[in-house]
Amino acid sequence: MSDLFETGMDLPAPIEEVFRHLTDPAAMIRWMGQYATLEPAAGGVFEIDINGVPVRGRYLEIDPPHRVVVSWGVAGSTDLPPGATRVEFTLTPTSSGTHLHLVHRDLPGSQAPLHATGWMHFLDRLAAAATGADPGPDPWNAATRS
Amino acid sequence: MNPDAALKALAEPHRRAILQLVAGDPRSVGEIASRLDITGQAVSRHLKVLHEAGLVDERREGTRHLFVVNPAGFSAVQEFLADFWTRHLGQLKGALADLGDPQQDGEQQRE
Repeated sequence: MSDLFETGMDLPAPIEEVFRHLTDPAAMIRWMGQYATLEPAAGGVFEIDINGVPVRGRYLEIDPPHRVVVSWGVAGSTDLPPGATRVEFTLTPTSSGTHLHLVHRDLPGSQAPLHATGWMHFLDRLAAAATGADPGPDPWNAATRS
Repeated sequence: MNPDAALKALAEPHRRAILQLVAGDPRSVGEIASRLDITGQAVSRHLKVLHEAGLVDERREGTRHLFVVNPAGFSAVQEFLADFWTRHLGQLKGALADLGDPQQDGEQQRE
């Protein structure tokens, strides 16, 4: 299926600290985006600007410090409007820190041909978001220079 | 599928515009050129890149040579998201490590 993306990572910090990095604006922008407005309660705003891309959504579920679910879209996008997709972060304590499991659901693409333009729009935005967002080695950097 | 080729192909605005045009209906070079106000030669060049990246297919209808989006090629987007999240989670990991590991360094788990 192309409408779901899933990944996981072991993180070297206690679960409470990882949870804080998903709910506290100053902690959030240490790893994603430059500006964040976060109201970590069900229905509260989840807004992050990632290199000028206004990611907008709401906290849908909060279960401290185990689970955070947000809606995820881009302001002004018709193909990927705020609320269009959903990102679930599930945290589990491990012996060395915390395992984070991430699922990004409801992505455009399940009806691939019709939604190809949706993908394009999404990708356009994501490309802007992902390039230069990070001073480290950027494997896609060459791809953004035409 | 080569995600790098697809992303390179997608990095050019005219090629994104062409993909949007051929996403709905198969179209000829001439049609695309007139809609985008660029030369047929430029369109052909862009279509070649898109085709090599697996993002468009060619088909013939009678004497007409048409181009249409290849949905399978969009698996590159999946790769792209993988990169987006892997990179940001990597940054999260770095940010957390910078805070100082409350446990012994030797116990830190590495990916």
